[in-house]
Amino acid sequence: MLTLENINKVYRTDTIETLALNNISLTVGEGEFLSIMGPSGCGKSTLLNIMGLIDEPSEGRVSVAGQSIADYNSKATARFRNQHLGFIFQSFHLINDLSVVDNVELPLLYRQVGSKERRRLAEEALEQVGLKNRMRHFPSQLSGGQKQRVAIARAIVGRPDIILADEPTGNLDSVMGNEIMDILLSLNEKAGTTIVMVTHDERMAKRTHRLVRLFDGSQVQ
Amino acid sequence: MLTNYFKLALKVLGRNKFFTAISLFGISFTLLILMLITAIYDAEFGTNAPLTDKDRMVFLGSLKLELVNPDTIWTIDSTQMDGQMAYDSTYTIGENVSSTSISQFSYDFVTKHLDDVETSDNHTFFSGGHSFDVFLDNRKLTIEALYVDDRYWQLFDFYFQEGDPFTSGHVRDATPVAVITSDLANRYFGDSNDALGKEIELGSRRYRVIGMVEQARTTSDFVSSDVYLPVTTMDARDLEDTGFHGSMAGVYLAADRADIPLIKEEVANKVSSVTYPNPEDYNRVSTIPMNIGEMYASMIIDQNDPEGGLFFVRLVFGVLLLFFVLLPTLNLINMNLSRIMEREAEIGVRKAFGAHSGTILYQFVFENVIITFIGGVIGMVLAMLVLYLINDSEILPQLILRFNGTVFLYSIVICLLFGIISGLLPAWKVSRLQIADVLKSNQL
Repeated sequence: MLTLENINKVYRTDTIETLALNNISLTVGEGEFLSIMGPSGCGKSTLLNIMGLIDEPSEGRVSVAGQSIADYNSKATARFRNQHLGFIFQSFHLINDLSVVDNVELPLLYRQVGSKERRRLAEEALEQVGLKNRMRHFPSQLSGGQKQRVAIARAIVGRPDIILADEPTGNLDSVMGNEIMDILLSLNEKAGTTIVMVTHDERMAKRTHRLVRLFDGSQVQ
Repeated sequence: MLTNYFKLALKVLGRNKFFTAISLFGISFTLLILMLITAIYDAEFGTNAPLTDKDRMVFLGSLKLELVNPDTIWTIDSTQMDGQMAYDSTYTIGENVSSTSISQFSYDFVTKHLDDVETSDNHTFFSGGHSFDVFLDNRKLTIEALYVDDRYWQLFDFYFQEGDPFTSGHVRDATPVAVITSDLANRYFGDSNDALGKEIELGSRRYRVIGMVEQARTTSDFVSSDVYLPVTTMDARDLEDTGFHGSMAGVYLAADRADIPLIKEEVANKVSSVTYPNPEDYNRVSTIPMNIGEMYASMIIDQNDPEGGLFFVRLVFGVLLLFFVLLPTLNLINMNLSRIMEREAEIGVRKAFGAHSGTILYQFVFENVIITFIGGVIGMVLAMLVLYLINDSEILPQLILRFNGTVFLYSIVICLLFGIISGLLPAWKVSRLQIADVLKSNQL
């Protein structure tokens, strides 16, 4: 479904050049739940960002269903992200000035979806994560676990093919972390959503189908 | 989507109250001043009675008499050639104006030389600047009077609250009748309702009031007065004086605005073809007929070059207005930039979920337009209040400032420009941010 071929990522400043990813080749199959592990600074998030088309590789090719993303212009890439990808971030990245339901509706704003339909889909997504009763709340009124569940609802509301989760349990205690993991597993099993998750937690990684380990920008497993 | 942007714009306003207060103050205060300027402009230059047709009018204010002599200017250059001095002389023939006299026209001059201008549709001659002190019940009233002909009422569309203007018969027979303003009726008779038919005493003459008009709300002394009297009832010395200078002015009405240059040329030619009886005193007679804009400009800049004066006045006001709008806009751009930069992570999230740069640009410009509209509404309310206070306090007694549709339209356009210009640059800048970079370095 998602293929990375010979991906290199180099960060350059005036004085220094850092190789963040070194010749990574990886294929994520449809319906797969893949986890990426490695020490801090090994390039896990960079790899996830490249998979999610929110960062560009310095070299190499990213393709989805056989089509290279390099052929897309920025507008087409944005449209692709909107229709096929969902993101979950470690620090939730909810918009504090918007209510829970307005946050969840966000991906649908950039599609031709009417306001009533948007609201229906957002409520449905919130129900899936067990937060429909908090839809009128604002992010500041929620706990960390609840915020992450809202972020999951936002990621799934547009029914994406792939969810990219960057340490979704990283800011949560173990109980909440397990809850979030259960939701992700359920999404993968019941809806067949492909999930790629970056994590530090070996226990969480073991619950996924496959584990990829990175060390100093290179794939070691 | 717009509802979402609208909600967010209101939230952002509430979040940073200090920024919001400064931002809204900047917008509303600038708009207040602009609306006041447009209201004053509209009151003075707008299409308002009795100067509704002012754009088709040619104003004749002053007559210039000059004594001009030919003047030869010699220039001698010297140089050394072959060890000897050589001289080269040139001369230019110019003119030397040794005497100038500028004043208004005499009654005799306008009726004799300027009563027949073919390119004009209609015209009127009148005499202003007459002031009478009247003592009533131990009160002193100062009454400004204009002596006008019957055509005056055809050119200037005064609103008659009661009665009628005087006719050609009244002017021909020098009938002592008067048209007064309702303000004067109140001051003179104590009541404007039964002034018609009563007599008003000005100087040593008594005039019967036959019409009552609304006070002309303009600073133009062509129409602003307390009482209007038949021109033929002027002091006999003014009527019979055969000199060129007097107290008369005139206005010509063009059938079409395109005829204004023709009228100006014909009037100027007619005046310059008149010979002064004593050429040893003055040997050139001239006038500069002006349109309304030139007339106002000549009051401020240069009476001899009204067209240049008008251009200069427009330039100065244009530049001032530009700066007046530009400075707060630049300030807003700066403030918006820091405000929007605080929301980098939000932009990153929006882009991650499918917003492209154009959508982000649109969102922030929209938000800015909302903020400027709120500022605009506050500015308009303030302007209404200030206009009311100005009218009520009679700081500008000759003008009634109105908050009308034109002013409102100007304000809306200014609001939109403010919002778009001050939001565009910051929005464009943030719309180009890399998603991964802003998400990595920012927390929401």
